[in-house]
Amino acid sequence: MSVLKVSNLSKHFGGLAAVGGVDFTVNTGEIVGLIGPNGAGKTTVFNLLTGVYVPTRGKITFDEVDITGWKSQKIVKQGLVRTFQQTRVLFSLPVMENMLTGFHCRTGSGNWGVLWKRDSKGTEESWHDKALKILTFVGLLDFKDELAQNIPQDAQRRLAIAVALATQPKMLLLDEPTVGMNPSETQEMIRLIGAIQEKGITVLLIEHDMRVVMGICQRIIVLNYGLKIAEGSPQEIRRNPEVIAAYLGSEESA
Amino acid sequence: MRSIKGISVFIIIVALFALPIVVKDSYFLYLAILAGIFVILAQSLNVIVGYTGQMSFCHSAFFGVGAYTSALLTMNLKFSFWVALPCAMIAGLILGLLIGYPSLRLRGPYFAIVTVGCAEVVRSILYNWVNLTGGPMGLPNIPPPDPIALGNFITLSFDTRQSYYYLVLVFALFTQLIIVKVINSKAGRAFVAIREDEGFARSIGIDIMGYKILAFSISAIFAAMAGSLYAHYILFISPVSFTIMESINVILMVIVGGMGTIVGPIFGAILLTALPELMRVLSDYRMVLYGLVLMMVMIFLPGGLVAALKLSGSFLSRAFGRLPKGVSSVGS
Repeated sequence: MSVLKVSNLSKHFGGLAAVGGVDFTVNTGEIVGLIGPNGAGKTTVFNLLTGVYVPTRGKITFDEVDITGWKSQKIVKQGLVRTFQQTRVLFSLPVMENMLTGFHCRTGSGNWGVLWKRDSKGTEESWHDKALKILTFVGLLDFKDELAQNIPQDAQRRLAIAVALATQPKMLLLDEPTVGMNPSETQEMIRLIGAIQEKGITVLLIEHDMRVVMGICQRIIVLNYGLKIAEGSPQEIRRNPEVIAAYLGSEESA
Repeated sequence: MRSIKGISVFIIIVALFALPIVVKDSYFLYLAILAGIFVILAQSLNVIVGYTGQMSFCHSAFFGVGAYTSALLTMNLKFSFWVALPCAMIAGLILGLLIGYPSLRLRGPYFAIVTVGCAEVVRSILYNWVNLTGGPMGLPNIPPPDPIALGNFITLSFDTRQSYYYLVLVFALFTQLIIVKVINSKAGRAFVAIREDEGFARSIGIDIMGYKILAFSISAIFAAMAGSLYAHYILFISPVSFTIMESINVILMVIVGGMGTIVGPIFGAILLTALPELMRVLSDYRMVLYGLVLMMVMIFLPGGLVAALKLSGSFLSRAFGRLPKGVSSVGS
């Protein structure tokens, strides 16, 4: 069953087609890789999926609902959340406060209650417990009272994922989660992404590190110049001549 | 820790209520009332500048619109002050929404510049709509708040400095209470997330525009309330009191005290109201020294007075080892 279905997705900036009519689907529970050379339009696809940009053309269906043109906050509430290539968290706040902010879209309060209470559905303590669980899951429990800016870079990366998990997503979009990591940190991240999949959360990830992509993705989608040039299992992609040409330059064009 | 905070807040409130009984000096009370009004202004500006991180220069516009609305309603339509004050707050809210909707879409310096423009537009209207506002001559003879009767015997009137002090004190405490409540709510957390990283806040499902407008409106409502209290105290208002310099003055109070903290703007407002008066003995050199003090604070205490308090608190607790924890967290 597909959780995300994208058809003819396009985004034009003036005369430039950053994404020029892309179709793909992601099935529930999968880990799918989105790869392509620099400037292929991968991050633009993420921005379109999460409501940062409104598509020029095309349709995005998430969890059987047409979310094309929705605002970010509504899409997050629907269960589609992203992280950024450049780690973004609330650096000057403690790790715990980052987590509690992550629950924002799930804490309930009426139209006016928002000014009076942090939450009318659960208590602050119950969210605190939930935050501790997620921090344990990503291995950040020891850092819970540290300021986010004072923890190591790979821990910040995991914090960004933890905050995204706090929004209780059905699907997670990860933008290069292992960029700039050493091999052991990369291994740790691969394990984490695997564990997220085991929780039943679908993952779409942009990645340049081929060991990561080939290692954990069930399916790979390849973009080049804003168009999808290939889709398939890691083995198929590895042998696909168009993909090899896009990355290394083809003989004809050389 | 929480109880130490609670007790100290209680002691301070009692002290504030006892102040006019102990100090009879009428000039001192005049300053205390002004300081109270500026505490309301600074704290309301703190919501949008300190917590939400949007540098706004049109606080003077909300202050002015509150003052003029309240004054005109009581003078021309013979409204009671107690009706005019909420009307002034509503006028502040309307102006806040009017300015906020288009301008909050802009970020950083662009938003700041638009608010500079809005402050100037409002000042020009007050200056040039002579039929309504009296133009540069201002509005004289504003009535003081009407007395309220409690039962048959007790009547509270507000025509003396002492009584007006209590009026302003109650409103200032009310403002603190509401703003502390808002900052500790779900909305408060959203404000801080927007200040720290708008893109990130949006990515975790925070409605950026909605919360920015909310913060801006709250700020406008309380600034207008301060305006009404100001008009019915000074009893004369003119556009000179609502120029952009007034906005900058309030911004200084927030920054010198400590942006994004609850106690910071309170300290800042009191200090910057008192400082120019304390330095009166220096006559012409007064403003030079005032400027120097501000520069010193910014260079050595970029976090404002609250940061200094925290620093000295932690220094003391290190020096004495056993100081209760609450002391070092005064500002948090």
